Amino acid sequence: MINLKKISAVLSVVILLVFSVVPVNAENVLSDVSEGKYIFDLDNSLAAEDEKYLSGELDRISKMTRLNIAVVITDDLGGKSSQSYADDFYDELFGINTDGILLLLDNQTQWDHISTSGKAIELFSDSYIDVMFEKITPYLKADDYCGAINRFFSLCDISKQRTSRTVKITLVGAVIALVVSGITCGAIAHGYKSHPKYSPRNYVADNETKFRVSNDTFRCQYTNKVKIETSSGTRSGGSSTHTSRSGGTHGGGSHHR
Amino acid sequence: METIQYKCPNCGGPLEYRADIREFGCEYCLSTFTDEEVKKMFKDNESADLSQNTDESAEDDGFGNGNLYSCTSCGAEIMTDAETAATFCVYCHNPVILKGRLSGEYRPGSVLPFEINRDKALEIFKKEMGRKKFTPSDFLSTQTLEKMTGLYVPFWLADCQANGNLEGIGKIIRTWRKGDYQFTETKEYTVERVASITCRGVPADGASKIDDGLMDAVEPFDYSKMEDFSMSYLSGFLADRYDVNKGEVFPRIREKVNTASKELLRASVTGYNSFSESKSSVNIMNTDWRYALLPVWFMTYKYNGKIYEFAVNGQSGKLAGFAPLSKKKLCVFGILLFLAITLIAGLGGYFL
Repeated sequence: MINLKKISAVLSVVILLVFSVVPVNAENVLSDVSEGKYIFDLDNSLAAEDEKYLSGELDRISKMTRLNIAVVITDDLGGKSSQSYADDFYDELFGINTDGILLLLDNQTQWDHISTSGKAIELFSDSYIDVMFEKITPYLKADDYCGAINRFFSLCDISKQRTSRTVKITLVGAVIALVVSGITCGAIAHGYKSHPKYSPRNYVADNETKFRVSNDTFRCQYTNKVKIETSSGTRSGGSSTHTSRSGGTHGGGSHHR
Repeated sequence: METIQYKCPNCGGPLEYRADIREFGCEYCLSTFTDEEVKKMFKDNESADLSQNTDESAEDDGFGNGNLYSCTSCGAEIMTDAETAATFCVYCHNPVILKGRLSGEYRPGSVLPFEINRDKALEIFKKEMGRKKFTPSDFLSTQTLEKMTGLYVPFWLADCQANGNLEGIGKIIRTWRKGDYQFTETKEYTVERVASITCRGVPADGASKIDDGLMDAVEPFDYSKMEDFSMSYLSGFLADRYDVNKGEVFPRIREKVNTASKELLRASVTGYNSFSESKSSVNIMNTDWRYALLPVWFMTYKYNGKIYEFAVNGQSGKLAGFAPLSKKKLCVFGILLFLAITLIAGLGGYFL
């Protein structure tokens, strides 16, 4: 006869084990996501009106940049690193390898993280992420989470960065253009001042020319020895990426307040 | 004083040497005559000129200038400078040769007849200069091209015997690698060269009013096609006698012989990875001179107050001369190039 008590006990253990593996925070949070709400204040660091304002700003910036944007404030990473937590949160929220960026503010360890995915990995370079943290950290140190998140949104507007980069490249291009056009015009002007030359060598009657002395006398011989220096070069450059637990490719960086 | 003219025995029109057919032709009745025929028909002209002393060649024009001639075709008075030997009458446009100008010490030993006629010279000029895109708009206009004139330029041709000497150190270098070391073996040799060098036909123009650099630039001439001098070849062209004697042109000859000799000696040093010269010298021991008339087509163009001279070798067609540069056109090109590169850089920065 089937022992129902034993089966119930086993099932309860199984259910408890399953729920212990699934990130509780993400499950609880995602279940509360309503359309358009991508600010997750799990630590109650934001006032209600600030959260409402920031949601509007997030929506505006997200539409302008065509990127998924989310902000998570928490004090419990569930035993994960801030990088893993941020990456997993993003993947579950928006899907793997979609275009977007997520800001994680961890009030427990004070290790904040920005996770990027898809096109955002290229748009937000490692150095730019460092700049973002430089700009928002003063707000966080002053406990101004609203200010920090608002500043983060403004820094997500990458079009300003692109404009600045385009201007710099155009200026460099203008300097190169000036040099190239100057050299080209100089070469053209020089070509108008040159005569074709005829070598006087052609007037020598080779059959009447006689070499009276033609000596090549050995003088000396010497040998030099030089040690060859070898050096190993290191290659650097390129954006840093990693793969999240769910298989998505992420960029980004961490910063301690 | 009368001039010498070569007239067609059939119609009396002017006979001119035609470079395209290498014969004498009459543009009126289209008769043509070979060199030998013309020399035979007009041998009196040659002897008349030879008998004429240069000091008595021209009448005094009343101002002490002995450069007044009269045209035998129309009787008009022709005023020239002292060096002109052949020209055209300004009234009837017939070619005239000025009696006595090329006699005595001024009589050339030989003449190189024109092989390029005026049309061909113009064609060469338009083709070469047409490639230059930044010349003024009227540079190749009909008005400009009309000025193309054939001139027999007086040249001194020098045959020089020179002794050349060159000394230096030649090095043969071999390198190889063994382990972490690079080895370089150098063998040094003392190099000596002494040569007797003969240069033939080194030219230098004897006309002070013609730019020396321009004449150097139209070289070379093939002297194997030179003919004994006859005034008949001058008919239809301008001609000058020399006003720079051989002593005055010798420095230019010496410079060319020095350059030629040093190049010959340097070319004889072979088989070395490097050669450093310590001593070189060229001494001209003997020079034989010839005086000849060589054919050149000339043209001038005035732009922004500056006169640009062009010369086309009347035998080979080689063109020399500095083309005028329209700074306005060059500036426009420079600005457009600048804008194009800047635009490409801007677009690249935006889209990449």
